[in-house]
Amino acid sequence: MNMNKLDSFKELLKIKRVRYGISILTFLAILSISVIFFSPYEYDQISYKIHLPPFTPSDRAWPYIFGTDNLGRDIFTRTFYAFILDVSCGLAIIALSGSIGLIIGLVSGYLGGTVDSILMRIMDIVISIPGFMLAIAIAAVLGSSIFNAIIAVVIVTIPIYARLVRGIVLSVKESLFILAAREAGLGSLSIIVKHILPHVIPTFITQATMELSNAIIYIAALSFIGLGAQEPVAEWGLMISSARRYVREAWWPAVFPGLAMFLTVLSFNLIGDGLRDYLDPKKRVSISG
Amino acid sequence: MARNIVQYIFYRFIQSVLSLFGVILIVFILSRILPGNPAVAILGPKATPENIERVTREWGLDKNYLDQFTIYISRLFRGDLGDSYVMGYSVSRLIMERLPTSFELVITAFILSLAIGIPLGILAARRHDTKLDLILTSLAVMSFSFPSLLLGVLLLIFFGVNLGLPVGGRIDPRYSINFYTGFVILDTLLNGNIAAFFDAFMRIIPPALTLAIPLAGLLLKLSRNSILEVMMQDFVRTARMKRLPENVVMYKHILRNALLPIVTVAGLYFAVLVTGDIVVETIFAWPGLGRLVWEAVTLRDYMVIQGSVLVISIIYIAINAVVDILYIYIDPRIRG
Amino acid sequence: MPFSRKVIIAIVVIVIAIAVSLTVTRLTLPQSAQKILVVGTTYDPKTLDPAQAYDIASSIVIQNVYDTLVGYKPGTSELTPKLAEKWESNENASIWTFYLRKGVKFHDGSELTADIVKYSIERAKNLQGPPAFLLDVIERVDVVDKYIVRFVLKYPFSPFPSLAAFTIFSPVPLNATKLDEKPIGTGPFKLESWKKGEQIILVANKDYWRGSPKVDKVIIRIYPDPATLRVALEKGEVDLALGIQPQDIEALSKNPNIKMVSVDGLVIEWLGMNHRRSPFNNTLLRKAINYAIDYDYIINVVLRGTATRLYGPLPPAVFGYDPEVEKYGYRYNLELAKKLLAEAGYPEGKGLRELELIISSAERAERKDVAAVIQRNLKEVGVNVKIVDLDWPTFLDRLFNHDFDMYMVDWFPDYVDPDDWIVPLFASYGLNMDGYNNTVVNELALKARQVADLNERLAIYKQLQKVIVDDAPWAFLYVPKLYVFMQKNVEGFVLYPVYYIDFYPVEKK
Repeated sequence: MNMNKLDSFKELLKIKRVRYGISILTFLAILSISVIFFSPYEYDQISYKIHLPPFTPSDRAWPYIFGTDNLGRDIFTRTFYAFILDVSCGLAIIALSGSIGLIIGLVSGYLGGTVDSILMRIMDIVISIPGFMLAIAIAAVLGSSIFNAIIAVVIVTIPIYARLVRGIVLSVKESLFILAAREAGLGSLSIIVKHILPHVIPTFITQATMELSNAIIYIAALSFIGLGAQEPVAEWGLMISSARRYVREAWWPAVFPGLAMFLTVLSFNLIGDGLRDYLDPKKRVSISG
Repeated sequence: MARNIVQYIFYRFIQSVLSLFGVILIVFILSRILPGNPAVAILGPKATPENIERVTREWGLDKNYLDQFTIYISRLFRGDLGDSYVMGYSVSRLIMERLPTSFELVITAFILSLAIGIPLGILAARRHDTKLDLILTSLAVMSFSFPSLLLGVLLLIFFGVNLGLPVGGRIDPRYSINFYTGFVILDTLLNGNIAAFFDAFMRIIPPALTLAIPLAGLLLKLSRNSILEVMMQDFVRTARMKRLPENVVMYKHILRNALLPIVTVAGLYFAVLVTGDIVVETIFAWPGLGRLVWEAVTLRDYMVIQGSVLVISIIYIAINAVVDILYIYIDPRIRG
Repeated sequence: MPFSRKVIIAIVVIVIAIAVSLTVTRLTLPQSAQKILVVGTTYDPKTLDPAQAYDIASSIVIQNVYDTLVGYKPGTSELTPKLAEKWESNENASIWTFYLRKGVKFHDGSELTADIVKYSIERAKNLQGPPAFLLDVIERVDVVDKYIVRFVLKYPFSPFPSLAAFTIFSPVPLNATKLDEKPIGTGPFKLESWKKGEQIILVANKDYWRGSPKVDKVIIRIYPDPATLRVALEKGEVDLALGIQPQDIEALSKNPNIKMVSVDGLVIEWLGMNHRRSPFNNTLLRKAINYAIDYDYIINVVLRGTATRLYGPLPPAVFGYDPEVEKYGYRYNLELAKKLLAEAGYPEGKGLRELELIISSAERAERKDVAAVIQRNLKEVGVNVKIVDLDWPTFLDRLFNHDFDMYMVDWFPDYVDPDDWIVPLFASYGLNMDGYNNTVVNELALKARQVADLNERLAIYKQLQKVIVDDAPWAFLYVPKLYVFMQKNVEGFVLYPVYYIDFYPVEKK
């Protein structure tokens, strides 16, 4: 069993995209951890040194690598603090909405009937409202904070997992009726966990990885329009929003957080993309992976 | 076969109407839960309590929620979306002004993405497994990962500061244009004002590109993969063996079959775009529907919130339904 | 290959299109013989009816199409006769008599008389629009003579003449309909057209009682995006720009082709505290907060020098301001702040819960930055602050339901009299947002608005400023300066502290 998993992991790593994605992520993660431990600047340290261009030397351990923003804060430090924050938020979101969506999808698909209709109707309604708008509405109702923004995005993304899982459960359920008859006496829960879940997991994980990048974008976008992270927290969307006013004078406070966000989103997309090809060889067309 | 499709269409229609009702209900509830009284927000902090009360009564906000909801629904059936508290004129008029604005941006973005994505996808498929293919697919994945936050700001800087071109808004307020269609590009031409036409043209490109590039990347990948998938199939090999010229083989057989997933995804993406990307509209000060919802939320203009989200959801639901139906129609294998 | 040829053609077409548009948009519009002033602004008026208007965008147009009874001396907030040649009150300032100028005509030809003033005021009272509360003090309006009108007030109110400078006191002609879109006033300009959201065109009133304005037409264009307005100004597409954002002020002031006019404003911005909640009922704590804030940084760095420090309840530009507050007011003093905090019972902030600061940065993005600075400043003395940025209705809701620890907001006066700061903000019978209740202040504030003699009033306000500053109910932050930018050939424009935008004396050379 263990050898299998190790082998599959090695197989996965063979895909170039996955390698690239993981390397970028590792690089960013290492940078972030270094920043937290070693940066001579605090993330909310306001100073008179505003809008210094990138690589301006200073009297501290290292220069202002990405320059400073309109309140004299070091952008390099803030960008990587934001990495930790945004990625954690993203993980929290997919963990929450994924698990809730998984349960709803399993229950709905397996039980069928009225339960299924009701649950799916609710999912349909949620999906019918464009995601971002619903997130805005919910975040506005709950109040502007990162926590509430997370809740908003979770609510909006649950239907994605629910529908996905339900679809798989439905297609597997048919072929399993025979099995179920054979293993009469086995509880539904066991059937679900032992026989249905394994079919669900691969696609579910792929979707979750893709959704992680979406989750990060959602949080940043909500903070961008003022509904998520608040000053002086370092969060990419908030940083870009504050920097936008002065973009004619200083481009770096807006661009560097954006680039970091781009690289992060890219690496998760690459990993997810590679995962999808790995798990569904039929879809893999080109040899170069 | 035909009966199945009709049944499905009917079923989908009922589903859509139910969903729509759910949307109306949720939006109503959400907007009323929002703290803050629109009367206070609009009258100002010094307003006397009597005045606030009077305005609250005028707007029917003193009734309980159930009454307010029933009144709203009954007016809805008569086609009355209510009046904006802030603007003073009817919500339908406000939406009719903004809807073409969003539409125009989305259609432009869509055309751009098709023009960029599909030809490059075909190119990548024909040259698959070469360096060019690698570069193109990498670009595709990267462009798809580009958040509109960053891309929008970068394009704003590039076009506005580096190139010195006009950005922001739809058109320079210098030009007084009579809006016949609501599409600024068309209307400037209809007005015969060429300078205005070019101005509007240049202002729509950066936001349209921001929306188009991620979609172009997606389309590139999709078309490449679908084409390759079809290329692998037997009948193409057969056609090749018959010595048909490569171009004919390419365009006739492959494209037609590969179009299906492209159309589906593009259609779904279109639905998302049409609803108005708030981030892009904010960065470029584009007065579209997305921005309208946002402005209305910040002002507690309930009628506008409810009306615009309703219209947006109708469009969204409608396009989703159409795509679903088309999908079923085109690919009988998936039906059921 | 046919494919790449199509791509090349497409690229060529796009390049040609861009090149042509670049050249075409550089062509300037033809000059006409008329003297036209093009004004760029960022907001569309809501209504042009003086009885309903309560926003700046509407006021800008109304102030040029209508006259008020009382005006301001150019560039100041000192009252001067306008439609009223003089005014006087009875001994206890409860009855005010205004003597109207004779021979003033409306745009429709009718003459201004006391009857019409009475009609206009009663009309505004009946309509109960947003600014109607300003008329609440009026019991009734009597016509004493053809050109003499008398206001009988419900109670003594010495600030009454400053009230009469607000747009709601602009006389409107009898039998006028649709005044919200088709205004008819006595002012220097008439409305030619209003394309909502786009532009407003005013034409000179050649029969204006002060003489014809110097320009023939004023075109007010709405630029929803302030960044585009700035570009339009720099390119010379507008002559005058209103509503330039603080982040653009520095760059524009350095632009050699642009003229800047600035004046000290009357808007005050402060950090308020909820006295109903602990720990804000502790005067030492409030004082500690006052000393902990780096005001210089806020004004010079965050606001880039576009504001001046506020030391007390009144801004410098209003009469009754006592320059002494600058001496006894609070300045940044970290050590003193820490000492007072310890004396208040919270050494190094121990024992103090996390405080919540609510703001609404919707219209003023720099408020977010000011809040971030304050947060950091207070962190240095050990006070932890959480910033919550709300949209305006939620913010107001929490403010008026007294559900807050601290807040930051600004205050626009409706009439230029110390009364409009002191009473609403510091008297417990005012708006009472903070729950601040000082009987001395309550009494003095009431007395000051009932006394008719100016010198007596000044003395009371001097005393009030000292009492209030000593109490430190707030942290007094800053007064934004007002800026208007224009092309170098625009002359005669005078900026008023009340943000009265007067097109009458403006000309283009």
